[in-house]
Amino acid sequence: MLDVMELSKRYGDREVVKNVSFHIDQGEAFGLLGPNGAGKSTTISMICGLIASDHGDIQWAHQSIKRSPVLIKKKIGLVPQEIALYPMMSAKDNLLFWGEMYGLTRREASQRLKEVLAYVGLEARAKDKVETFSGGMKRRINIGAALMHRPELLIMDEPTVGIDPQSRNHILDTVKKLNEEGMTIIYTSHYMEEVEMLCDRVAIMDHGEVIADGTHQDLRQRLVGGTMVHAVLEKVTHEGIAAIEQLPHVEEVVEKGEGQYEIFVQHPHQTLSRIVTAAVQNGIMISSIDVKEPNLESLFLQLTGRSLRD
Amino acid sequence: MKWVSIAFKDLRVRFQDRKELVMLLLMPLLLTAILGTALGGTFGEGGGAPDTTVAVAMDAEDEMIEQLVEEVWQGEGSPLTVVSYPTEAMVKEAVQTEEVDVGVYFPSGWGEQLMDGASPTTTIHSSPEKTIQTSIVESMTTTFISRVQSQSLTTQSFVRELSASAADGEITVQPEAQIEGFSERLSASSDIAVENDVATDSGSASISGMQYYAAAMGVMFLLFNATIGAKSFIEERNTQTLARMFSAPVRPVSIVAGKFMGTMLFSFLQFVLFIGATALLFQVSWGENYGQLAALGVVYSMAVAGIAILVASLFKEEGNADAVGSIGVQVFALLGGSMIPIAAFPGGLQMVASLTPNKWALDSFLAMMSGAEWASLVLPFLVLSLFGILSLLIGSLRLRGSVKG
Repeated sequence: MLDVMELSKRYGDREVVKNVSFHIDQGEAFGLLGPNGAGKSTTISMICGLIASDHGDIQWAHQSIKRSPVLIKKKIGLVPQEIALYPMMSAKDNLLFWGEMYGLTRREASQRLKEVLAYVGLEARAKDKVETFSGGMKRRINIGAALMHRPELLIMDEPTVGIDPQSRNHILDTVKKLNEEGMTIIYTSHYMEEVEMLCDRVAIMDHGEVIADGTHQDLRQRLVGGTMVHAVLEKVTHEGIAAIEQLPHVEEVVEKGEGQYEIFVQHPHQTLSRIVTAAVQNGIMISSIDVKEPNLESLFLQLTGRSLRD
Repeated sequence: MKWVSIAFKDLRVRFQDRKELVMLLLMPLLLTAILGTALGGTFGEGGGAPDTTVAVAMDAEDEMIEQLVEEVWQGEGSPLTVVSYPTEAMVKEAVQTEEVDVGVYFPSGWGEQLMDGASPTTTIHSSPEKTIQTSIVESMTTTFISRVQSQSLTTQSFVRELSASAADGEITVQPEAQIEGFSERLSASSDIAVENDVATDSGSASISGMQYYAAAMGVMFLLFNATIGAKSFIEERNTQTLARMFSAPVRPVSIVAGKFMGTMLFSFLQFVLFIGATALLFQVSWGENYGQLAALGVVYSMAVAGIAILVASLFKEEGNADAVGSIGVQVFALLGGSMIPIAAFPGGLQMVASLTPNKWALDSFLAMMSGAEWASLVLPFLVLSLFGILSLLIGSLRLRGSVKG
């Protein structure tokens, strides 16, 4: 349904998106995962027609956004990272206004209003000014504004940044529900657990490039060393780390700073005791050590040597 | 019609901002009350009034006219300088060529009529730009005529009374009856005709201090909308609501048109409310022609809204637009005559004042208050419309890049 083809964008000397391609089917929930500055928002801005690409094309149902921008924009609902609302206006007036911006008549917008308020769970606060809302409630209205025109594709750019757990759960439930009802979703985040929970397929971006993509299963299989051992060490020596790296079933040791290490291993329970022994023999003190199930965070760490939230 | 939704959204947002409403609606009323009351006399009595050159022509030598010219017009502290001309035609020409500010013609027998207690005709030649100077000359002349008439009538009355009493053999005078008689005759006196020689269709009524400062504060505070409108645009850009509009199927021209109309609508509503409030609270007369008033409201609001788009295109931060905009409004207000009447400026500065939209708006207001005809308002209305259209065009071109994201 949505084809992103060899998309590139440059600002001066800096290439912020490099040859990005992916395909999303109708009704699919697609995650774009990556740290801040990875190029997710720029990619999304190009999909929404906010900025023009230097190279490549975006097609929705085989129609290019370059040729039919208005037609494609009508089918997209964007939830921007910032709260793009008018704080002095009520939730209701904000939703009606954004409905009109997407081409609804006042009457159509009024009819849709109740449904959207129910989606975001703020029917009781409809007449209150947005400036009186908590951060989480503002984010919910921010999502509501993108739902007014019943978009076929909902693009959410980090919709849960800086909010309380209750609002976060509400938002995630809403996204899940919308996707179950058939809405195609692009969800960007640097919270890998959100992407894992909501999305069928994921593309991991770093430095403007897609460094891995596929289903969760595909991506886990790409991990060299299926499991990650997280250790907090003291009195670390180069020889000690080298000794751990040479142990059987140990694939890679990644230093995360402040004495924290991620050790990618096969057969974690057999290997754990060997890691502890090698560390002690080399004078390394272990403050804590635990085994983590493989996830997208582990893959990102292995691919880039950095954490998603670095 | 998305631009309509954007314009009405802006209007709704502005009416929610109480601080802004107080600044734009109550402050000008307060300042009008203070300045109009404190400086009202400036426009009627010559105190602190602009220097004025008066051309005088008379058909014959007249002692009363000489007294008026030398003792009243050129008395101590008077702002008037008098230049004599041989004929009324030359006086008119001097006014038209702006050699003098105001011209006055006295027909023959003027002084004689005045001494008889009658109302001699005085013709004042002026131009629409010299309403204040005309008011000063008119006011000083009227005061002189009234004073002479009252003295003359008193003398005549006492002489008659004394003569009658002497004939009856007893001398009794009834002052109450005499005073009542003077009042009736004085109320019909002072026959001064003001003729406008530069634009003959302009008005002739004089303007009070309250009227002047109501118009001056009105145009100044309407100009604040240029800064507020610009800030609203920049705020939309910085809070990403502008980007959100662009992610929706809205054309850039609709967004700029909506923002322009939002500022224009608010300015026009402020204009209507201000005129209504000053008319009710301070009995300010804004002229008889409401059509002219409405047209001025539209063209001036258009100029202000155009400037708002231009200012929005010049700044990226609200704070900068606010600071520079506020200073700009005050400089424009000063140059445009909102604080000191332009007539008091030297010639060069008066030329510079013509570059400010508020000068044209203020001139139009004053002309309307004097009962100006439509023909004399064509030029200022055209200039104000051009201010709006040109600013909008330049601002839109400059915004094109940022508006597209």
